[in-house]
Amino acid sequence: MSQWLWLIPGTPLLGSLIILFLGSLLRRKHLAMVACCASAAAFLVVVLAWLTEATSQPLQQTLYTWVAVGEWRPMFGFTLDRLALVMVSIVSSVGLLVHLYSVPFMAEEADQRRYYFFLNLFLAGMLLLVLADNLLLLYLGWELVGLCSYALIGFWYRDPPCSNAGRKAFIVTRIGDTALALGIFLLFSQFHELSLSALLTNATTQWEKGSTLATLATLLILGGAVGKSAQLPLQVWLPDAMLGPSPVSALIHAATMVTAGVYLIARTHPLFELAPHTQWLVAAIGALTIVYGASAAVAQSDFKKVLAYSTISQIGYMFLALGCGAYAIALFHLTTHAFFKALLFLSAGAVIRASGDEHDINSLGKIGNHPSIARWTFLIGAASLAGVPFITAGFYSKDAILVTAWSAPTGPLLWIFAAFGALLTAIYIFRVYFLVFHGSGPRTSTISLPYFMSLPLLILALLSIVSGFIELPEGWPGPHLWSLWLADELAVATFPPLTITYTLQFITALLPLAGFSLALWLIQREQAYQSLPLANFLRSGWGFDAFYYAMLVRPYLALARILQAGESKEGITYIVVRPYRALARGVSDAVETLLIEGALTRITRGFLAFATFCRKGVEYKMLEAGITSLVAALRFSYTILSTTQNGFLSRYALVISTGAVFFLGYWLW
Amino acid sequence: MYEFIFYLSSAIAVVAAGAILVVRHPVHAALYLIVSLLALALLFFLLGAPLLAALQVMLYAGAIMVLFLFMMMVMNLRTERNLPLLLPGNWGGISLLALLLWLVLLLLLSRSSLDEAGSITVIEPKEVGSALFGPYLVVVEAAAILLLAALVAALYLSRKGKR
Amino acid sequence: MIPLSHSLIIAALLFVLGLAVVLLRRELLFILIGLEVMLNGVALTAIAAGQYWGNADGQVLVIMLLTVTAAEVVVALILVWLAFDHYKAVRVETLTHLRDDTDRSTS
Repeated sequence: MSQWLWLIPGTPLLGSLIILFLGSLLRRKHLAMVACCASAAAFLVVVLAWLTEATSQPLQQTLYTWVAVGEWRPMFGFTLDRLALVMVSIVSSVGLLVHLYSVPFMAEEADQRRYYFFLNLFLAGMLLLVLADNLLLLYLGWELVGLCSYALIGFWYRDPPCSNAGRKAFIVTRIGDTALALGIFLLFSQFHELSLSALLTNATTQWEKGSTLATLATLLILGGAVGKSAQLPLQVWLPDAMLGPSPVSALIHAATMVTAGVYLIARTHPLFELAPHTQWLVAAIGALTIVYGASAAVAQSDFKKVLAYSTISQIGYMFLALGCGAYAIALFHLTTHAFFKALLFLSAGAVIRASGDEHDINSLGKIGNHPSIARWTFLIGAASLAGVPFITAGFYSKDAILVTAWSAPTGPLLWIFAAFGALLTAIYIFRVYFLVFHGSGPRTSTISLPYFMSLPLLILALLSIVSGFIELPEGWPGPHLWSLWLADELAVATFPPLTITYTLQFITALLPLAGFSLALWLIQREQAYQSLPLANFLRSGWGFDAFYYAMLVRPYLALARILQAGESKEGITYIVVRPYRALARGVSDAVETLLIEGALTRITRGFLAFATFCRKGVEYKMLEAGITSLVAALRFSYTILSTTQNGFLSRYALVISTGAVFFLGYWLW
Repeated sequence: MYEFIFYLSSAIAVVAAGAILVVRHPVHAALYLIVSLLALALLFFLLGAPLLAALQVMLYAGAIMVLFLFMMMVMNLRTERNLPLLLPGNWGGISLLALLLWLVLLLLLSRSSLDEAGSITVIEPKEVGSALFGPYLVVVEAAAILLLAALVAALYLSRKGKR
Repeated sequence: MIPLSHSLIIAALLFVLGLAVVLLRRELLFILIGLEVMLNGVALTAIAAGQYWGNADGQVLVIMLLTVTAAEVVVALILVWLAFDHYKAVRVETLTHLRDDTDRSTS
């Protein structure tokens, strides 16, 4: 099996290359078929890996030496351990379903070749990221998925908001990527090694717990993870990323790419255990982001933006679990979240598409007539997201996170944040459900979805329910397959004593029900045109965009404008003369007003004349003389220099030979 | 004798090259160049490189100079029609040098003076060939590519109706 | 036996004469002929050195040089012809289109 590992990222890459180079020879239908086959092949290889010995011991394959610089030889190699196996399974299965869903969804679009090329390339990059056995290769995959995300957000690039959203996503995540690159540099400078296994062993043996270097390295890695996973304070790109096609939102911005940060931290968790402060910071960022995302989602009116803020908040749960040291549980929530959030996005996409690209939830409620499969699957996804007790996967994973957060340092505080977030989650998702599907429009549907769209919805709906049963909550009779299976690679989470556990689980189970009723109350208020307090503040995502615009974008633009003015013809006037003139005018104005108030008009007049004289004398004479002499000097040197460029071939040849003679003479001397 | 021939032909080569500097008409320059090249071919032969001597005569005097003369013919027909015809005396230098060269060649052939200078090492064409297609094979390939590029450039530059 | 230095002196003389033609003459064709003379000086150097060391490397170099010269002459002659055809120019003084044409009367 292990010599076939390269096929997992290899087949989507091959698919994308076929589409890129032979795409013009293929018909539209065949383009989609190539892309689907490539992702299906990757999925089949993953299934084969499950069936063979992959589950018992990690597989390893080294393709070739990527770079050889002296002693340092990073390999192009893959490792498939259980952590990677989980990620690979999620990515390839959701990827396959989204590819199938795209076939009817994108059938009317003009530029299918570009779409499928980037979708396949994304799949290859994500699988490469997950399978990489060294940090350099991981970074390659990391950048590839970033590139594909950029290209697919801006898929409809002729629409300026879309291309701007793509650019924004790219630039914001770049901040995180830079931090990650610096982190990799730091680790390399310390250990001269980028292979993950060797790196982690070296770090645990050489660094002591809480050392400065470990804290710094983990902080930088955390920066990368925060950028990619859209956590505070780099979360601003994800809501805008929803301008891309819905399947892309489902695959990249909900199920897989945004969880790359979670995977990265889980992969390097031995480092984080060396730096308790950073680990606490991870949990704190997670807890804050939960409340941030959920509260912002409550006030949104755009269907997909609700889901985007919901994604931000749900990844916050994963970060919280990571920060509490419960890596297996974070991964468990990642899995269930991938299923139910992809489901929500895909059914939302079906609804939006069926209603003629209407995104506003109130208008969608008025239009009605939504496909019934989309409605029921959305309800299942919503229940799973809210964590309706016992029957949904979301309940089991979120419950585990909430319980384990209690026993972490400052646990009760984190727990309060997370529980409040869970309540808000139930509120916003049921608010959306009722507004869209129980609006004033007709309930019964006349639209039926194509087979390729309904099948992925049904499979994901099934997975959103049953995937929770593999890990029942702590203290319950029943299987704990997940944490036992991952116990070799990821540390076992700690839980508080049983009585507290049961109390917490009881509260967690009540929260969705409370949220459900609160959502009903909220809708009644909204229909009576009573808006929420702080609704505008929440809708703008706590004003992060405006804040970043005022603090970063505006000064940057101003600087650019000044520099541009400096380059233009009027530059000297703009930079030197105008500020000076303003200063002179200010001084003379001040003098005038002061003396008029002293009721000495005549002296004023004298002073005024004097001031004018000063202005004229200083401004026009001295300044002009200075500038003129500068220009004259420049012109003089220009004349001298430009004589060398007179266009005569013989002169050029003479100069060249003189140079050659001088050089030879110097050399022979 | 060997030295005499060598220095005489090198003097011819240098004098012919110097004459290029002062003659007025391009055709004369080309003729002086031919003389210089032929004298140089003789020098190559005397130095012990017969293959290169033959190639020098064939390629330079035979092919490249024909190109030059052809170009001059085309251009002169257009503009310099009203230049005065060349005075017969201008041919004297060229004829003199060519005659000298011919004499040297005769001397060389009649006396087979290479025999008395047995100390020089002659590098046979076979040796050159095995060097070319042995260690310097890449050079041959590069030369082929260069010639192809020149061919393409020539075709491109001389195509019709490009304006 | 001719000493190596004599051959090299002759080669240098040829090279310098060719360079003088390139630098002093103003007709495009003369410049090309001067280039040929320079290249032949180089060829003589290579052959003399190759014979001095008694191997074929010098001759291989000269064969390469011949190829380069042939390619260069072909392209250069066509360019000369084009210059003649477009601008009616056979002398380099008229071919100064690359000159810096900025107005310098204000200085």
